[in-house]
Amino acid sequence: MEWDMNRLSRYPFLAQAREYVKAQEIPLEEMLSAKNASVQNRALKRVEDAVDGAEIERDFRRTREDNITDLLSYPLSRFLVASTGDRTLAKWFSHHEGERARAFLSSEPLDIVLSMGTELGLPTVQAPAGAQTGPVKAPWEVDPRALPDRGEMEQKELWLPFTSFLPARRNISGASWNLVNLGVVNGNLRLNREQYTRLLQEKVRERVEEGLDMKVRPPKLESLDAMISRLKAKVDGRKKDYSPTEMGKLTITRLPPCMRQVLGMSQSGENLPHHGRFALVTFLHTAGMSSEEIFKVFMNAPDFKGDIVRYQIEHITGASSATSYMVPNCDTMKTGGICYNPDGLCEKEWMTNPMIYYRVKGKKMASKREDTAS
Amino acid sequence: MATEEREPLTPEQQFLRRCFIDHYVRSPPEAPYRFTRREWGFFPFGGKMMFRHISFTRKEELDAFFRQRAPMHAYHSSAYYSEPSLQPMGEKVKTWMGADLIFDLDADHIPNSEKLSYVEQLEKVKEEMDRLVRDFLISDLGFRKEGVELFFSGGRGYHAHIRDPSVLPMDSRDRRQLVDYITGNNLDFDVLFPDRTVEVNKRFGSSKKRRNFRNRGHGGWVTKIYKGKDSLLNEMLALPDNKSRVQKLLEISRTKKLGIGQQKCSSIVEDLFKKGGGVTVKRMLEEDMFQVTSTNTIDTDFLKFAASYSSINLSGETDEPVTTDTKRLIRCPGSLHGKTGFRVISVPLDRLPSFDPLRDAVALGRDPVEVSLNEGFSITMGGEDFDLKQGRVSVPKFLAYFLVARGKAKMLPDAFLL
Ligand code: SF4
Repeated sequence: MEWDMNRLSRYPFLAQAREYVKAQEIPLEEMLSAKNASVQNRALKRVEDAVDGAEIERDFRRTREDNITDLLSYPLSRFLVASTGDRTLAKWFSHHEGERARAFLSSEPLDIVLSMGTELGLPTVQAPAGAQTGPVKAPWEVDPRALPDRGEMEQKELWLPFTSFLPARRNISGASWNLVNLGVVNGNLRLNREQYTRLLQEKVRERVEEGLDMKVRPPKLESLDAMISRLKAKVDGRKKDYSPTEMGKLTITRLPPCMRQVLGMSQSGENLPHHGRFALVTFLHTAGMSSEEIFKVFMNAPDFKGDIVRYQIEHITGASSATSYMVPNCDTMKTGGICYNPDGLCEKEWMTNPMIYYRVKGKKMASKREDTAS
Repeated sequence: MATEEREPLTPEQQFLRRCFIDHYVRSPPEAPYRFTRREWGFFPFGGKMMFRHISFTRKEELDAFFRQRAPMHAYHSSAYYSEPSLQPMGEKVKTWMGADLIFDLDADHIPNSEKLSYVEQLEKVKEEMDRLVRDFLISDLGFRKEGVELFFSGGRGYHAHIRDPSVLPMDSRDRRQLVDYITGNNLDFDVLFPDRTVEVNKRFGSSKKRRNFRNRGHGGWVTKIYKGKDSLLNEMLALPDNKSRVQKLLEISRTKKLGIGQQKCSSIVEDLFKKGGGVTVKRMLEEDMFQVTSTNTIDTDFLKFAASYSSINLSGETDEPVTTDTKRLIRCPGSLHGKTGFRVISVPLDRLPSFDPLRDAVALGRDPVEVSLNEGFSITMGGEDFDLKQGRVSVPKFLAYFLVARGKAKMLPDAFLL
């Protein structure tokens, strides 16, 4: 499908967009010259917005120039991200690009959404024989604002093989994304348009992230150096409020393996499963960290949204709600699939809660110190 | 390969091992699909630990291994590795190329299984496996019948192996989703049947909400809960009075661990059989509804009951680590199970109902062996009824193995002279 420039510029990760940029044959040096300042600014903004977790701007009234700038800025922004060599920035960036794509997709006609899905490896299939069809949502559930002026076609239910659904949902949490709560028939499952675009966001993220970990050797150019160090400073700004050695009262070496893993995931900017975050917050809280300290732990998460995280923390720790929650038991951790790398201590019969691990380990370490002291 | 260090075998262990050697010399297991890419693990007779990280490059090596070592238990990985013998595990995992999808049902996971006999346990697990394959793997998940290979485990369970290329790359998070789907774990009725506003009271600014029950053909657990509703209601109708209906619900709640108490069970029965003058149940069946009057909200507990009807009967029975652990070793098809002497044998789905492990998985011969039985014992095995008395008995080799391996009999002191 040939897309016009306006549309293409929203999805610069697609093959057709890449073809377009390639065909321009602009060497990197030229891209970085003063002549292309607008492209550079646009590229820089792409990355900075990602660091800030900024709202996605959707401007639909655009000139041809705008479109070209957007298309060219995408590979340059990737180049900048790769040049910093920062894996966390790569996660933030690809996450943000995914969100941007979804924001635009929400107002595209369905056939555009579907054809992009096919390119990104999520082709839909025919409704399975035997499945009772009908709108996914009963009419009273459809928010008229969500689907402005769309015909019946737009409310069509979409079907996806569960084998392509499962890998795509890995980083999305919430009960409505669990297979057990979905309409599964004959190897395929039923989704509505919003669910489908959410999955596409993940696919976009994957595609954007691909190759960002490559070692690039940026040419020696003052303008480029300036951009890279500006980005690095910004990234450090978001990171510096937190570093693992400054965890106050918490002793890293005493952490049970599950919490280490979850903490590591939040540190490296991997998306945490929701119950992983819940477990970590209750744990850190019980171990004596303040809400503010806990807040900083999550600042690296790619989907970091300050207000929401703060709200969740305060809710879980009981600062803003009547209940404060307990650290989930090992059993619960196991069923939730977040009992990561249990070790010898975990195998003890009385090891029923990660907090016990933390306390016991503390005692053990203390007695060891005494041993060596005497 | 690590050398086996072990203490001298007891006469019993020697006998058991001898049986396996005789068997494997004649019929070593067939090499599983892509066996050179798999990690193997063995547990020797009299051994204390498993030897793993072993790999084979040729079928002859594999045969020779079985003939010479005659392991008590033989396993291979469900996973394929480009370097299956690499150690430590962390390094090997980096060469992971995918894994078969395995479901393992075992009598261990049946509630109160201790109270059942071996034969009864096997029968229960078999029924569950049949349901797992038909209702979940084939009907819902859409696997082809030929794509699901079933095995009797040689012990107290059954395994289903799926090698479809689309499942090989699934990671443990994906596999956990399948396990949850099959066990009904993490079912969320508010997602399955979301609230909808049915009435807005303008004066008080309040609104009345009711569940949207979608329709029977929605698929997944929605469909299962519809079917469960029918079974539950029909079963209730068949009972003579409300008292016995409450009892029935309580019983289900106990065995399925739903945690729904007497009071709630009573009010469900009341809602169903008293409030609409008895028409409620009829309409729920005939018009395929969940709620019939605006005042009667049949709540989450009713849905829990309906779901429990369709869930694979026994909670937590799909041995979760086996399915979700993509580095796990599974019992090798075609090998013998060291605790029974039965063969890990493939059972076509259509033959499952008539499959009798005690007849069809018997692998060791019929030559008579004399053993000393600790106490009287009766069993039907290999198509023969045995009613054995304590003391010296002569039984076919397959039964002698079974009895000795399970500690029910000892070798006679003069066995060596034979
Ligand atoms: S056993 Fe408990 S403490 Fe250990 S890793 Fe698992 S959940 Fe954490």
